[in-house]
Amino acid sequence: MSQSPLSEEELKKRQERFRYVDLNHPLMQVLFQMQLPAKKQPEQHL
Amino acid sequence: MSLTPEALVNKSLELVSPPSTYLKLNQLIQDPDSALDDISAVINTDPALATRLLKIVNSPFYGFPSQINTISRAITIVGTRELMHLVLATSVINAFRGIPASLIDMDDFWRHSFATAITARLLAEECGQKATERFFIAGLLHNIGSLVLYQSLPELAGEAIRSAEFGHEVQFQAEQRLIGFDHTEVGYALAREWHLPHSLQEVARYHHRPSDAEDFPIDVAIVHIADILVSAVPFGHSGDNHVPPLDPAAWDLLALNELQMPLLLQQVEEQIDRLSSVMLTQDAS
Repeated sequence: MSQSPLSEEELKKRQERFRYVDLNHPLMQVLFQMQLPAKKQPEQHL
Repeated sequence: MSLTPEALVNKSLELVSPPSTYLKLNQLIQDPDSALDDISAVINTDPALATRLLKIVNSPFYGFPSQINTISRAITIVGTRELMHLVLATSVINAFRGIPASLIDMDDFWRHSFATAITARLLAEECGQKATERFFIAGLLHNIGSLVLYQSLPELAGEAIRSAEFGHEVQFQAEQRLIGFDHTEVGYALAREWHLPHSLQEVARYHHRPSDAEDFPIDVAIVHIADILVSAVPFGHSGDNHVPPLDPAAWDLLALNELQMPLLLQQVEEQIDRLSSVMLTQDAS
């Protein structure tokens, strides 16, 4: 799992997405910080 | 007279066919004298359904090494209950195909539901539950009440979606304010009307307030947590861009380790495209 810090844009998105949850809960802390590895994009065939 | 969830479901059923094959199968498996051939025969009375089921069980999502060519063989390989759940899922997806894209992207809606289904099954395995396929269908159908709202009250449902997006409330709270009840009560009414298993009725009703669950607290807690995990990523979009509020008691009930959740969601990500592509493909059959 990638641990690089969240960009400012991503941080704002997450703050909005997690607006109604208690970020003090350990599960929510993990989910808020979580970064799934980027999916490989399919190759473009022109 | 104010509208009730039951009245709305009755109105909706004028447009939506009940999952008749599933209901027949459900009756059949209660009969101790029923045999595999009887179950196959019921499914084969609907050739379009049988063809679709064979496509699903032969898809990369299941990844069986050899081709499954008959429903009898599919029952043997996949199991009666799992095949019945596929019958139910396929019937529900087909029944609600008419929801306008201007209201909600249904591929996104189902992607959220499929991801919740996969996540619920993985959580159930983590919790040491047996017969985990029931958690898959519970996750898949947890928002079944939203489908009725989108179909029968599109304007108010659309307002609830917009209110959740731009306002200060989650979608189910907006539904309660605008309609007088929310998708969980509608889902419960529909699940009862269709005589779906009691566990599915409870999941539809209590997935946003799992501490109220009566007979199936584990099922409800698992889908409650699955819905939250899936919304956090997010996988798909059920109508609300926000992560639903967590009931800490539901999390405590499952006694899971939060540090395992990213790995579990990585497994979901590996499965979701395979499941979505086979379940949502519209074919000519």
